[in-house]
Amino acid sequence: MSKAAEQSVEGSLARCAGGDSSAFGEIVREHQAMVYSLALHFLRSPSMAEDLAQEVFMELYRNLSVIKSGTHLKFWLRRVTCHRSIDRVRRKGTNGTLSLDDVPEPAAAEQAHDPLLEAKLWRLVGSLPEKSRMAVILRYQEEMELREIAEVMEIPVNTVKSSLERALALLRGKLARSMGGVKV
Amino acid sequence: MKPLDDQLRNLLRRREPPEGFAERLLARLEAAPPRLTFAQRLSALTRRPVLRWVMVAAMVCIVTVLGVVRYQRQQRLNAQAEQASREAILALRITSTELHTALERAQHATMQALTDSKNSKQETE
Repeated sequence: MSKAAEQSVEGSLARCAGGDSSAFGEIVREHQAMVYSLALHFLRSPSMAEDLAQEVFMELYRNLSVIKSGTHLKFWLRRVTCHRSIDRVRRKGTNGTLSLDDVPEPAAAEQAHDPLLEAKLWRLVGSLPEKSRMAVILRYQEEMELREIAEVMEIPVNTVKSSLERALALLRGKLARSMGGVKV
Repeated sequence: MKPLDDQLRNLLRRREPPEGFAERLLARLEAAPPRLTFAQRLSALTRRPVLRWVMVAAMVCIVTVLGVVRYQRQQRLNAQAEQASREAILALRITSTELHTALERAQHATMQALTDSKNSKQETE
């Protein structure tokens, strides 16, 4: 997070503590894409993802007093979203069956891509075990380091490392097989 | 073909939630604001700079008043202890004087009895 963005979030946090409800709206708008995307990529259901993201922000509202800075806020949101998403999948027992066509457009401009390959990859990511899937999402959506992923998921760094390696090997193997042996 | 890392990065880019997400959330909060615990409310209050100083000043006043009350109570107890000690010493002095007088009287009576007994013996002889 840039220094200016950090200051802006901290200003919003201070105004929020002072009873300014519009400041909470600013915090939500600043972080809604991150929280919603983590939930969507993991749960694979836009309605469940929106519901979970709303729950996460409601919980943030109740816990605003424990948030110390903009960096802490981002960490807190990622941690809570990650745990709530895993809990929800465990409780419901199934993953969503959303196809890539139903996923909202990315926030940033999209690069040229192969739709078939992306659809295949989307399904494969969805078939990964819960912890590996969350580690892959944090790594590639949020560009987080292994240590940061370990802190958010509350698991050892070595576990994150091995989960990611296994997940990538699995994806690579399955993709190669589906592409008729082409290396990816 | 792009390496897997790039494909995943592209696939898992952030996506905006449906239109009106923040407005729906704020409306939900307004309709049913989550109940805050006493500790959460207190903690939220201390984040407001003016209230923080008011609370610090209030705490200083409370601590000062409690200190003064405690000091005065201690002084009163000390005075009472000194008074009790003085009274006990006085009582002991009075008792000592009384005992001394009684002893003198007893000695005097004994001496008198001995003298009387000696005199009556001489008279008999």
